[in-house]
Amino acid sequence: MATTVKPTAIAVPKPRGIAKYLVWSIDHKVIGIQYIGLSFFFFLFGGLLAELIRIELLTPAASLMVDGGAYNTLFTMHGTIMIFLFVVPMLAGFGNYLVPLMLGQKDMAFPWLNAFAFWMLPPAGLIMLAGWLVGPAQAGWTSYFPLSGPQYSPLDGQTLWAISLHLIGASSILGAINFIVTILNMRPPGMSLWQMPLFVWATFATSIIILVATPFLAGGLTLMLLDRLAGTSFFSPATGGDPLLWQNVFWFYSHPAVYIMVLPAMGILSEVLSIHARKPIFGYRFIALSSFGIAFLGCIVWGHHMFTSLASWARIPFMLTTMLIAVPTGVKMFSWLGTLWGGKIRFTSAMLFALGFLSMFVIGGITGVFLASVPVDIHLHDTYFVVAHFHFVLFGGSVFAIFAGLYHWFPKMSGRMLNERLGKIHFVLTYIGFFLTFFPMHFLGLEGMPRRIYTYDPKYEALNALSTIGALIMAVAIVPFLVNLAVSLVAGKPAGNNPWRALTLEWMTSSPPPEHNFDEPPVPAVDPYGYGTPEGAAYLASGGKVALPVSSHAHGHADQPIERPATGD
Amino acid sequence: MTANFAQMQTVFDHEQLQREQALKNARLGLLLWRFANGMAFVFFVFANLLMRNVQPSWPPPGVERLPIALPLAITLVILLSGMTASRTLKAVRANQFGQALRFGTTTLALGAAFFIGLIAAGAQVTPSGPYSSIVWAMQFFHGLHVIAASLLFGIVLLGVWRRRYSAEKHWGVEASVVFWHFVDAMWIVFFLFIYVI
Repeated sequence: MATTVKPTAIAVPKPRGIAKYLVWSIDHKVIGIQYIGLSFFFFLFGGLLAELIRIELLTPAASLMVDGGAYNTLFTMHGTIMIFLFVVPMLAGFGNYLVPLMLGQKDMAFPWLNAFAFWMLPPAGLIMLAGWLVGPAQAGWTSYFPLSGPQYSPLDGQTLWAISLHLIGASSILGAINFIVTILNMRPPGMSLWQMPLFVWATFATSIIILVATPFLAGGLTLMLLDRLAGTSFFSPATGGDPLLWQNVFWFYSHPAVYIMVLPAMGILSEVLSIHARKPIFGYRFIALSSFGIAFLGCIVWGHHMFTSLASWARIPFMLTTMLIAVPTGVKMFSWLGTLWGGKIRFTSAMLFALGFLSMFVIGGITGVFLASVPVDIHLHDTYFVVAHFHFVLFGGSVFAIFAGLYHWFPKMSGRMLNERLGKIHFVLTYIGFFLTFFPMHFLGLEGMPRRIYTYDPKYEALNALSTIGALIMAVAIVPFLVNLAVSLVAGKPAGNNPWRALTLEWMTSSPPPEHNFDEPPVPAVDPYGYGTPEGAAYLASGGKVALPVSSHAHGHADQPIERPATGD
Repeated sequence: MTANFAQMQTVFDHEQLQREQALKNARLGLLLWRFANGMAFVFFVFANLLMRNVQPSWPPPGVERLPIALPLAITLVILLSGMTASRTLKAVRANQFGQALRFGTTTLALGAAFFIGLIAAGAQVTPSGPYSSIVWAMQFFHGLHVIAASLLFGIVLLGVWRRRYSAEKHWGVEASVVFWHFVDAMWIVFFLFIYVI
């Protein structure tokens, strides 16, 4: 009597807790949090560099730095890290976590590729930081030639900078392919594009920009590396090259990159504003389509970074396309205001940061229209006005939205609530500190203070001091957030499935969601924002047999949905 | 018994559905990859045009136009390799693996011949600042893609040899052939911008 012994699978202990996030995983939720965690580390690091910059600029004379080179390194690494290792991967993290949940799916289309794209980032970050070991990059995040050529940047840090950006760009392209395939192919049967939440729309538009523009960054970096390592002459005037070639190809990527950093942030805002104002989003289709308007226009405006060096015939077309971007952006702005109008606004920390976005992004957007105007830009080119403008867009815009998103989705990701009191302290200090840091820079720029200098004329001292005080307030502001994160992760109030009474699909599963996201494949509702109401719950429970009232996109309260049969839109 | 069969049928349908979904995703993914990769080729054309724009003539004064005979010959070679690549896929789809292997190895050999020709064409360029820089960069960039396409095709061909594919399941073959065609087509564009226009 032979007994066959079944070979038992060797049990590999699955890492739990924090360890889960330090190892290879193909679960989109783990990858999303890996993106968010890694980029948050770089946010703190880049912030530290910014504080050093502001401390140096407290007084007109050199105080902290021994020479300009050290200062050049600071702002080069600050800009590069904040853009490529913080904002872009942070928003990719939100996308990874949320898109499959919002589409009612188990995972992204290519889970393995997803993990692979993430794991290109830690080496890229290390290569970037390794610059300090061999003499870091000093040519600014824009790395204009001839500053970044072998003549003025002989140290290897500039080469490492280019290699690191190559990796980040490749990671970004692979991520974008994954998002587009997931969004186009993986929607559950019955969910049309018009039944996707606006964050998914924003990620869709962003991914298209990445596919169009990021290959140009890769190409430009390849030529930079060839110039530095193989002695070709693309950019260096000394050997017959053309420095404007770099500016053209760099901005062909880097202007659309601004929208890569802002569109998903706007997507976060569309979700957060409507839920915390207890009102359906106003102008759903217009918000969705305006992302594509911004994506298209964003790819044909790069020349506005080069007004001072561009052929005069090319200035007007670039000026006009740049100003046109205000139209789709305005569509979003007014739709958000329409959403707030008459809403039952709950001033949660997430909502405060979202409202902070609205106020700051308007300033950044309008100074953008100023700068689009050729005569104004020729005067303000390379002054602190430009620094003020893009910090209002990228900090006042993207970073405020990122914090709004973190407060909003932290309960879903961790299963616990963040502390609201600490959140409000964090918001107030950030808001004041941010405004104090960057608003005075408008006046500094108008008075002619050039950017990227570490000593300056004493007449600029008062405003610079104000700016430095603001920066220190921002540094203090992050402390309550860090405490909040640490305490809430362990001892936060349990969140339950849907603490905000939100209306999108990701709140219809437990917090944090199980590995397979949904126990039953969800039935898509007629309205992307039609899940959270009691009627929506009944609809889901009945497998789509009970009619769901269509909440009007324009009017009505989410709390009391208008009674209308679900006959489609 | 019937119930069991029905159950099996559902499981089978489910797997079939999953396979179809995975194939659909992979096809769209490869299409998007070709788009992004194609934008990188567009980048080199864009750079080439901008570099001409700042020179009084192209090639710049004092630089001779490159001879076209060898590049034309390797263009014909890569076009031929595209045809044999297509025949490889056709043979796999007809379950004719011997034929697939013959066409596949021919494709790889033609790819290698193209690559050697590309290096020889690069050696014809004399260093002359911007002109030689962009020509070399374009040849270098395309050469990298020929290596990548050959590696992919070679690995897949090894799979054909080991009978990993069938008329029903051959996504690997399809993907490698599609990528091979992409690299072919990009050479035609580069050929025009380096040697003709």
